[in-house]
Amino acid sequence: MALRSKPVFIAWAMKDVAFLPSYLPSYLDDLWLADFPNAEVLRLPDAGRYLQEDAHETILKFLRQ
Amino acid sequence: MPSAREFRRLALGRTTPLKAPTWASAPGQPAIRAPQVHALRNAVSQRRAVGRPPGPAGGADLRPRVPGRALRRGCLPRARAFARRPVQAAAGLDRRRRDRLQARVLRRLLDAATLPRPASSRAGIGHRQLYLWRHFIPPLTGAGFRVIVPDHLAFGRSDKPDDPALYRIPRHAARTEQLLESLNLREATVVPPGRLEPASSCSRERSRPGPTARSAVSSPASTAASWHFVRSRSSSRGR
Repeated sequence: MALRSKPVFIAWAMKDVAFLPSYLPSYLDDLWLADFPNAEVLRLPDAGRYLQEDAHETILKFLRQ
Repeated sequence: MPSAREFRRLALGRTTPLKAPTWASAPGQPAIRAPQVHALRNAVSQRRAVGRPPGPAGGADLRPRVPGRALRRGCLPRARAFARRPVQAAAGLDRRRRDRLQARVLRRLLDAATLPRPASSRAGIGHRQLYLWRHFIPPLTGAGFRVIVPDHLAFGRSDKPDDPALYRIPRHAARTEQLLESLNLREATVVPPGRLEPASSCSRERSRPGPTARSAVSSPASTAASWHFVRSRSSSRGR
């Protein structure tokens, strides 16, 4: 898949009330990292469901790179 | 019947002139403006929000009650037909008409997105998705990026057709592909908040690799459904 060669950045909010940190193995490891092993994963310990609100400065740093 | 602009002014009591939306902008980049489309969308949105009895389930009845002038002229049916089957719909058209129709469809998919707005200015329209990105757009445009925020079908003030097939991921992906292609983007970074762009990016890369330079995924759990779909499609095609 051609997309695999592209850089991928994943941001995960650890305080998301819907997708709990316990979901990480099933979603992040088994799904995303299985297809994109070189993806850059950023776990946001203080971000909630609306991570665009809670961690926009952190995410912006990665988007600017 | 009042025009869309007059309808909005009468319904909301606005006296200040309305500004045409800007969908894409950056320093040195021309803005995309379409006052006609904006007026059309305003008319549809306001007729949804004002003067509409509640639906049978207690929610708002989203079907347009009184079609506006542009709707009566057949603009919306043609645009919808193009959105459903862009290749077939464009087959019998000359290049100029096809480009105009495609631009109309794409503009309907976009939303005024480049300027941060207070929540109150969106009250009654309920465009939360765009509001979430208000912290991202000004810094990125200030850093020289061209920021485009698509307003997908049923989001914000976009159309909300009743046909469920229009909301399927391949349709969303096709429309996003049209957007990328029409804007001739070669170094796009896709930042999906929802469940659409992974499928779009992958579909795009399969057909014509290159334009998507990188992807950033937020809330990846919510995009998992679309990614499962992409994986299944890819594996069934032997990729």
